[in-house]
Amino acid sequence: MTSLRTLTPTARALAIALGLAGPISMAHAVLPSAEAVVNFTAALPAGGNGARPSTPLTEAADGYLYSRTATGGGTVLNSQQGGNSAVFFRLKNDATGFEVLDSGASTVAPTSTRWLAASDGHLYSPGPSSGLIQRYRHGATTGWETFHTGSSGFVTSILEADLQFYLTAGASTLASLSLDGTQAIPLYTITNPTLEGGTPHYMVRGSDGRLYGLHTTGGSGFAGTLFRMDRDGNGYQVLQNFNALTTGYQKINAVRPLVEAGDGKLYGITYDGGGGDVSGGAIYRINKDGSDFELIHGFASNTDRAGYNPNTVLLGRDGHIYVSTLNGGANGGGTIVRYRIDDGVLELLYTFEALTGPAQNNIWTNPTSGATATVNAAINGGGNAAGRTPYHLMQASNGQFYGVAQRGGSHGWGSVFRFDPGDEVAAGSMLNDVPAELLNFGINVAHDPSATLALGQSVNLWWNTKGVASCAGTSTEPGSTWIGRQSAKATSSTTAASVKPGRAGTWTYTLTCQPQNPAYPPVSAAVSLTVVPTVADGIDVGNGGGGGALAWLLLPLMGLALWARRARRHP
Amino acid sequence: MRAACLGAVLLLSAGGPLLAQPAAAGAVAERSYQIEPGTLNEALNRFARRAGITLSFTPQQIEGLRSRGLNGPYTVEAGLAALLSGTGLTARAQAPDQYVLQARPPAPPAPPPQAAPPQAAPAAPAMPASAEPPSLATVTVVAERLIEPANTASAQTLGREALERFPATSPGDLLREVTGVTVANSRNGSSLDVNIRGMQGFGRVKILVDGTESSGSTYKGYGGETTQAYVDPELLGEIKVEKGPNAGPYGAGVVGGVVSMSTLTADDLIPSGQRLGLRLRGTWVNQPSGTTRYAIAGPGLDGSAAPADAVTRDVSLPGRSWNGSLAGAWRLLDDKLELVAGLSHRQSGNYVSGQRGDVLTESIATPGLINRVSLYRPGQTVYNTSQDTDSVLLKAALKLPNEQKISLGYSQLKSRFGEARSAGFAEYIAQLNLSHVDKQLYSAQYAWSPVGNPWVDLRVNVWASDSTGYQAADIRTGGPETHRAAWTDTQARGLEAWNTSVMDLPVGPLTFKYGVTWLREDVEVSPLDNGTYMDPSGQRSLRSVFAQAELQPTDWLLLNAGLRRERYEVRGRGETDSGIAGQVLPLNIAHGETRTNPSLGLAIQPSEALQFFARYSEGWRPPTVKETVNSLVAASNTARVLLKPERTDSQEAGVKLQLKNQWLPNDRFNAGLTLFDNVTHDYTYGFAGEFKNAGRAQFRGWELSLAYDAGGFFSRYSHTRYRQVAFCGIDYEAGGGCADMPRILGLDTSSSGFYVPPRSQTSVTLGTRLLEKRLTLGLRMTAAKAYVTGGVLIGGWDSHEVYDLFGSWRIHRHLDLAFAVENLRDRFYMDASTSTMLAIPSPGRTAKVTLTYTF
Repeated sequence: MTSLRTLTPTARALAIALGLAGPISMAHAVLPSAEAVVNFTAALPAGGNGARPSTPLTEAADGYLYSRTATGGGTVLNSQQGGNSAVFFRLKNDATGFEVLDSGASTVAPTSTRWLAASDGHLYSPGPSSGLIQRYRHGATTGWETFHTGSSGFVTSILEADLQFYLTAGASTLASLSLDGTQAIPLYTITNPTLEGGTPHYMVRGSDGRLYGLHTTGGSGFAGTLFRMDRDGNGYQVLQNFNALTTGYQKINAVRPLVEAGDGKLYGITYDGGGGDVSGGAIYRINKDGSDFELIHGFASNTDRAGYNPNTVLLGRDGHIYVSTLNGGANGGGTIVRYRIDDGVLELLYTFEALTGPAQNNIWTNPTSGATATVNAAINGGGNAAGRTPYHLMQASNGQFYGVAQRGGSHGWGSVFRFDPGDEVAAGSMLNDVPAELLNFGINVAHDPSATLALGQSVNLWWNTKGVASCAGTSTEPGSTWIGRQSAKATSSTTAASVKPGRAGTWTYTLTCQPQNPAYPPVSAAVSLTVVPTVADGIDVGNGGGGGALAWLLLPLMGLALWARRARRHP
Repeated sequence: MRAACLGAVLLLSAGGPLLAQPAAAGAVAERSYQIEPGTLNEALNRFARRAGITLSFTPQQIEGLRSRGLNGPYTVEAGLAALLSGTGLTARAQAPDQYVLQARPPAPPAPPPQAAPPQAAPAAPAMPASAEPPSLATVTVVAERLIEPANTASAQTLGREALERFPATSPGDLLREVTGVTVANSRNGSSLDVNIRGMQGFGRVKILVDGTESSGSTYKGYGGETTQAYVDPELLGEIKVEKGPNAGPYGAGVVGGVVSMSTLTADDLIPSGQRLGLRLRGTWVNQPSGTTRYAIAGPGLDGSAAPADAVTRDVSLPGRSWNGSLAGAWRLLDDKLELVAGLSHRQSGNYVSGQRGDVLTESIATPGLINRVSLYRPGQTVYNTSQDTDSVLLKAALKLPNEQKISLGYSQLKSRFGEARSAGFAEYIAQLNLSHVDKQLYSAQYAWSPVGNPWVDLRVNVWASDSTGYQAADIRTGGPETHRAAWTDTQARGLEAWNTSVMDLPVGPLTFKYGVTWLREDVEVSPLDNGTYMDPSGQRSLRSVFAQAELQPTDWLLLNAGLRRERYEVRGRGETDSGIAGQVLPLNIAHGETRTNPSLGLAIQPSEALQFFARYSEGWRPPTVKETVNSLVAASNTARVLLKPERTDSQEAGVKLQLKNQWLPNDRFNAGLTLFDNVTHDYTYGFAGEFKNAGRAQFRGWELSLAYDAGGFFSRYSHTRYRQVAFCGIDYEAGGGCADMPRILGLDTSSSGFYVPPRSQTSVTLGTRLLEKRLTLGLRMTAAKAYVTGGVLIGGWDSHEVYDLFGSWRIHRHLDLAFAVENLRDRFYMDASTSTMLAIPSPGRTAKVTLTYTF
C-alpha cells in the first residue's frame, strides 16, 4: 500500500480528501441506557451514605459533582425516611471517588435545588432563610457558610454572568449582587403580577446579553410568565404568559426550566398543567423576542409514555435538548426524552425501570418506642438497577450525563445514575409525528453516489437521518462489513461508517432505515463502489522504440569510398 | 629553416642499450602528406609538424642530404621511413610522438643455423653501443606540433606533467586550469561534476576512462542531481577535454563535451630504453582528520529507511589522510607485448574548511540583501567528505602481424565515501551514512593500420562497465521526509568501431573517418523501502553512425565536416497514481528517436604561428532512464508527455597564436582566444525528482589562454567569462520567460538543476625551474566570480580567490619529491558552479608531500 509520505502533495491532499488518510471510527449501535454509579443505602450501623437525594448534582471547577441527600447518613435507621442525618457528598465526574463530605443535621448543606458552581470554584446556594445566600469552599473548615444576607425575600435562584450574580427572590425581586456578596442592587421589582408575573424562580443569560427568566405565578394565564430584561433592569418585557390548560404552568420544582440552544431559541419546560395534553407539563420553545412560541410536547399525566413533570431541560453537547421527567412513563418512574433540533424529532430515550428488586435496609426503629417496622413502600418500595424518579439530569464537563434518582437503586433509597444516550434509539421511540428520512447518503464528505477505488482501500459512507429508529446496511458484495446494523443517527459531520471492499467488482451498498413512527415506510438509499485491482493495466508510453535502422547511412560512405578508389586507379 | 632549428637542448641520457622502439600508439594513425622533394632538413620539419611529433637530429646527420618528398597517406613510421629512404638514417621512437634520428644499423649477420633459435631474429636488433648517439654533445632539433586542426579546436590535453603538478585530492583537481571548464561538487564524495561552457549535469558532459563511460548521476534530494565519476587520479596518465558536441567516435549523446581520461600506459612507466618500469608513489596530507567515529541514526545496508526502523550504529571514517600507489609496466616478446599493472589506495577523513572568510555575503542581484553563504562555519569539519578507495588497473597490449594490435584492460575501483545531501537544510549538516561503490571496467581494443594502405586504419573498441553501488539513506530526524537507501546495479556495454581512409582528391588530401557506435545501459535499482520514485530501473541504448571528413585544399586551409546519425531508445518501468484511490498505474515505457547532427569547421592558418578557426556543431542528449521515467510518473504530468532530448547548437570561433624563440632563447608563447555561444533547446531541469523540458538555455562567453615558457620560468593564464547565461521557458518565470543571470534564485529555482556557471573564472600560474630544472617552484591562483546568489535558504558558493603553492624536486633520477600547499590563505570558500543546495566548503589550507620512486 502506498503510504501517504510517498505521495505527491496533490495526491496526498486527494487521499486525505477521500478519507484514505486513516481509518475512521465505525458507527456503533448502542441504545440509551442508565446505570447507578452510587446506590444510597440509608442509615447503616457502619454509616449510611444517604438516602433520597434531594438536590441536583452540581459540577464544580474541581471536576467533582456535589449534591446532598435528604436523609440516610446516620448509623441508625430511625425513621421512615432512611434515618435523620442528611449527607453532603461528592463524586468525580467519571463516577469514581464517592465521598461523604458531611453528614448529620439537615443543615449540612442547603436544601435548595439551585446550587451554583461559580467561576471562583466555590458553590453557592440560596439559603434556608430570607435573603440568605450560602457558600461552600471545599477544604475550608466552615462548611457551608453565609455569603450574603439582606436581599428581599427568599432567594430562589442565583445566576453568574458578566462578573455579577443575578438573583431571583421573593415574590417580586430581580436583583444583582456583586461577586463578593457585598452589593445587592434591585434591578426590577414586580408591581403588577397580573401583567408581569410574580414569584420569579429562575434566570438565564441569553446570547444577546439579556436576562431571561421565569415567574411561577401571575401573568395573564395566572400560571407564570417568561420575561426578559436588560442586565441593568431596563427593558423588562413579558415574552410569554403561561396557561395551565394550554401550556402548563411554572413551578419551582423544575430545577432547570429554561435554556438557550444553538438555534438561538429558548427551550423551556412547564412543570405541571391543569388538564388535557399539558396536564403533566410541557416542552416549548420560543424566540428570544417572544415570537413563535411553539409547544413541542405536552405531557399528559399518567397516560403519557414520555412521563410527566419535566424537571430539567438541558442543552446537550451534541446540540440536542434533553428533558428529564420526574414521574410517569411506562414504568411510572420518570423518563428522559430528547428533542433533536435539526430534524424536529422528539424521542423517548429512556424510561426509568420499575422497582423489581426487594427493598434493602428498610426496617426502621422508632427511637421513641424502640419498635421496629418496615419502611413504607411508598418511600422505599424496592430496588432496581439505576434508580427512578429522577430529580434532574445534568451533563458533566467530560460529557457524561448524570442525575440523582430519589427512589430505586440497589437498596431502594435512590441513586446517582449515569445516563448513556447511545447512538441509536429503540423502535417506536419517536414521540411526535416526523416522517422517516434518509438524507445525503453518499461517499465521503462530498456525498458522492458512486466512486472507484482500488482493492484494499476504504471509503467512508456518510448520511443523515430524520425520524429513523434503526438502520441496516446491505450490499451486493458478499461478506461485506457493511452488511448489518448501522447507526440510525449518523450525521455528515460526526459519524460515518468505513467500508473496505474485500473483492474487485462493482458493488452496491444500501442503507435502509426503519421509521420511528410505524405509520411511515422505511427509507433507503444506495451507493455504488467500483473496486478495481490495486495495479491497473499498464499503459504504454512512447512510440515503442525499435526501427530506425541506421545502416543505410553507410551506403553513401561506401559509395564515396568506391568512387575514390576508382579515381585513384584511373587518375 | 629557422622554425625547424628551434628547440630545446636536451641532454640525452645514455642509459641502457638503445633499441629501435616501435612507434607509439598514436603513430599508427595515417595522415595525408604533401611534401615536395627538397632538403631532408626541410622535409623532416614539415613532416614533423604535420604529424605532430617531435623529431630530434643533429645538423651533421642530415647535412647535404635530400629527400624525395612524400605524397599520400602514411603512418608516422611509414612516412619517416619513406622520407629517410636512401639516406642511411632511421628514426627511433623514444617516447610517444618522440623520435630521434640515428644511423641505420647494419644488417645483422646471418646467424649460424645451429646457434640461433628461430624466434631469436629480432625485427629491430639492438643498437651496438658504439651506435648510440652522443649523450651530451648532441644537439637535438625539435619539430613542433602544429596547432590542432579545426575539428578539435576546442580540445585541451593534460599530460603527465600537468596531472602531477598537484597531488590530486579528487579528480576534479586535475581540471582547474582548463579554460571553459569548471568542476563543481569536487568535494562531495566521488563526485566529478564537470561544467563545460555552462553545460553540466545530467550526463551533458561525458566522462570516459580509457574509452569507457564512467559516470552516473545521483539524486540528492533538494540538492538536485550530481554527476559522479569513479576515477582514481593516481592511475591516470592523460586527460583530454573536448568542448561542445562531438562528431567523433565518442560523441554520441554529447551536448556539453567529453572528458577522456587515459590510465597509465607502458610509456608512462617504462624509462627510455628499459623493458621494465615500476613506480612507487606515496602522498601524505596534513589534513586534520577530525572525528572518525560517528553514531548515526539510519538503516543498515539492507534495512528499511523508515524512521521508525532506524537504528543507531557506528560509522567509522578513515583517520589519517594519505594515498599511495604502485604501478609497473613490462615489455615482453621483443616489445610485442606490454603489460601494465597498478594498485592504488586513497583514504581521507572529513576535512576541515578554511578558517578565513565570512559566511555572510551581500547578494549580487539585490545589493543590500545579505545572504548566508553556507550553513557550515569557517574552520568547521565538513561532513560526508571522507573516502576510502582502492583501485586496481591491469592492461595488456599485444602487437600482431600486419600492424595489428590488441589491447585489453581491466580496472576496478571500490570506494566507501560520504555523500553530502542538501546542504541548505540544517539537519543535513551532520555526518550521514556512507555510500559505497564497486565499479569494474573491461575494455578490448583492436587496431589495424596496414602500412601503405591508405584506406584502412581500423579501430574497434569494445567495453563493459559493471557498477554496484549503495546509496546510503539519510534520515531527517526532525521531519517526516526520508531519502531512501537503494542498491543500484548498472551495466553498460559499448562498442565503437571506425575506420580512417585517406584519399588524394584533386582539391587536396581528404581524411575520411567513419564508423558506428553502440551503447546500452541497464540500470536496476533496488530501493530498500519499496520506494521507486527517485531512481527507477530501465534500459537505454544509443547507437549512431558517423562520418567526418577533413580536407586540406592548401597548406593554410583546413575544412572539416561531420555528420552523425543517432538513435536512442529507452525502456523503463514506472508507477504512478492512476487517478483511482489506491491504484497504481504501471507505465511501460518504450521510446526511440532519431536525429542527424551535423558539424562544420574550418581553420585558416596564414602562418605557422597563427591560426583562425570556426566551428558550428549540433548535438543532442537523449534523456536517461531516470529522467524519462520520473518525468512520466510525476503527478503534474497527467498527459504522460515524454521528456524530449536536449538539442544543442554550438558555435565557436577563435584564434591561436604560437611563438617560439621570440624573447629568450628557446622560449615559447601560446595564446588562444575563443568565443562560444551554446544554445540548448529543451533543456532538462528537475525539482524533487521530477524532470521537465525548459524552452532553452543559453551560455555565451569567451575564453582566453596565455602561456609562456622560457625553460627557467613559465607562466600560464586562463580566463573564462560568460557574457550571457539564461534559462528560458521554465516554470518559475511568469509567462515562461527567461531567467537571465545575474539574479537571485528562489528555492524552487536553486533546487531545480539549473547549473549556473561563474561569471568569470581565472587561473594564473607562475613558476620557475632551478638547479638545472631539477627543482620547480610555482604559485597558482584560481579565482571565480559568482554570477548569481542562491535561494532563500542559503546563498551557495560565492566569489573567491584561492592560492596554491607547488613544487617538485628531482632528488635523483629515480626519486622525485613533489609538494603543494593548497588554499594557502586558508580561505573559506566553495567550488564554483556547485548548486546552491549542495554547496559545501572546500578544504582549508592543506599541505601535501608526494614521493615518487621510479626504476
